[in-house]
Amino acid sequence: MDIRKIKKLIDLLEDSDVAEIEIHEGEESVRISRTCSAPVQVTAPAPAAAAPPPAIAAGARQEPEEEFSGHVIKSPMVGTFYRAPSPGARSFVEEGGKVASGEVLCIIEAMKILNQIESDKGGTVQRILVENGQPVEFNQPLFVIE
Amino acid sequence: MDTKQYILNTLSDGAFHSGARLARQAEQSRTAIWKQIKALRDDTGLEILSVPGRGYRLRRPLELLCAARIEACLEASPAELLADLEVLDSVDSTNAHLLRRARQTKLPSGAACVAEHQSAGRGRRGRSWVSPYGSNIYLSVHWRFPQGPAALSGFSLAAGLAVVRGLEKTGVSGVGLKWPNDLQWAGRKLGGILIEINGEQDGPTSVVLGVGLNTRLPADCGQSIDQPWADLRQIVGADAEARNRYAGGILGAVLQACADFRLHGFAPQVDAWQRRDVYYGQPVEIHLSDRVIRGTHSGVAADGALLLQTESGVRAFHGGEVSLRS
Repeated sequence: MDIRKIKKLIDLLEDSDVAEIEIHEGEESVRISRTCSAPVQVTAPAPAAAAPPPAIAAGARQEPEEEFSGHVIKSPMVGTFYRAPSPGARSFVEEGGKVASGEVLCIIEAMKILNQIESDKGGTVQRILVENGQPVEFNQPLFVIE
Repeated sequence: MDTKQYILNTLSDGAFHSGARLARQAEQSRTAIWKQIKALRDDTGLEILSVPGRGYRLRRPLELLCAARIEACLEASPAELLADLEVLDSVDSTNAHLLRRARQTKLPSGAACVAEHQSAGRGRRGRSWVSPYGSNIYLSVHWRFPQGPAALSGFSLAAGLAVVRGLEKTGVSGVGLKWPNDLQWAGRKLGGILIEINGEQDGPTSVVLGVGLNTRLPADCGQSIDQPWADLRQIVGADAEARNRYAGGILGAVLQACADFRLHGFAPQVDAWQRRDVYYGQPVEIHLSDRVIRGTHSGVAADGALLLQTESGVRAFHGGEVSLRS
């Protein structure tokens, strides 16, 4: 089952009064409960992947969503966040700097795939939310543009 | 074709060509030919010998890249996937070239280019890729995927496997893969892949896949590389000169891999990848930004993650540098 879908389910549950939901999809099922100590249980058919469960547990962390006043640029993929094209080079942008729509803000790298993240809005870089070289999650806010 | 290109084409056979004859055929003065020879030496670093009474010749014959010869090596199915193939004499980098084209126009899937020389060949994270003239293969392919970037992680591995398959089809065996997609031969680096993408969260994603493969690396260039390297000449000897054949083999396999990945992802390729994995089953360590994790390399996942058997079970990694544990 897609981790993103599970994350969405968790969000859904948090916004509701429901204590527990269980979804079946083909041979897979997931049960999410608000109260018990192990918040997420995934049962997959026999061998499947041994690795996913810890990742899903991580996705279930109850992080309070910070509210941003400006336009938020989020990471389109899991990877490492780089503020400059190469080590020692000047950062693409600084807080307080102006950016045009289409301008490169950072690079996210995962497994030698480099993704240049461009601003989809012109304005001032109000905040840079991630440190250079840090891992980022899918959909994690990276920049606030005003 | 300009005079310089004409001279290079003529000299590429490695035989002597007199200045007088070159001048006559290019409809230039002998002085103009001499000037162009000097410019060729300066621009390309090629060794052009000059012997009084006999003329000019290249110290070693050189098979120049040629679109028609590369395309002739493509099998029917990948040939249909090729949109266009540019052969460039010199470019900053083949990836940068296609990324520029993709920004300027709606570049189709299957647009490709190869170059004799890169003035700013790139590796990962700003590292340079040694790119002397006429000595290696620098090849890039553009493809548009309907998926968003998050769905493309396994493509990094699919790309490496494609290059190995392309080489195998052209008679180069024994090339292995080091996660995520280094090309290795006898424990040394034969080539590398750099993928640069641009896409919205929900797709589509524009992908440029670049391959740098050493075919005959001059010794003085080799000294500037900070890790053990290999080139095709060490594997296949004089056959390494047939650069159009290898470029065709790699291009065909990469085009096919793009089309296959779009439909099926990396999952169907996991077994084929692991068979060529040089570290499979070996004790390795993964260097992350802030720590080192030790374990046994136990394969790759359908999303391209490296699987490591550790004391606390199998863990999946999407980043970091993997190396053999001594």
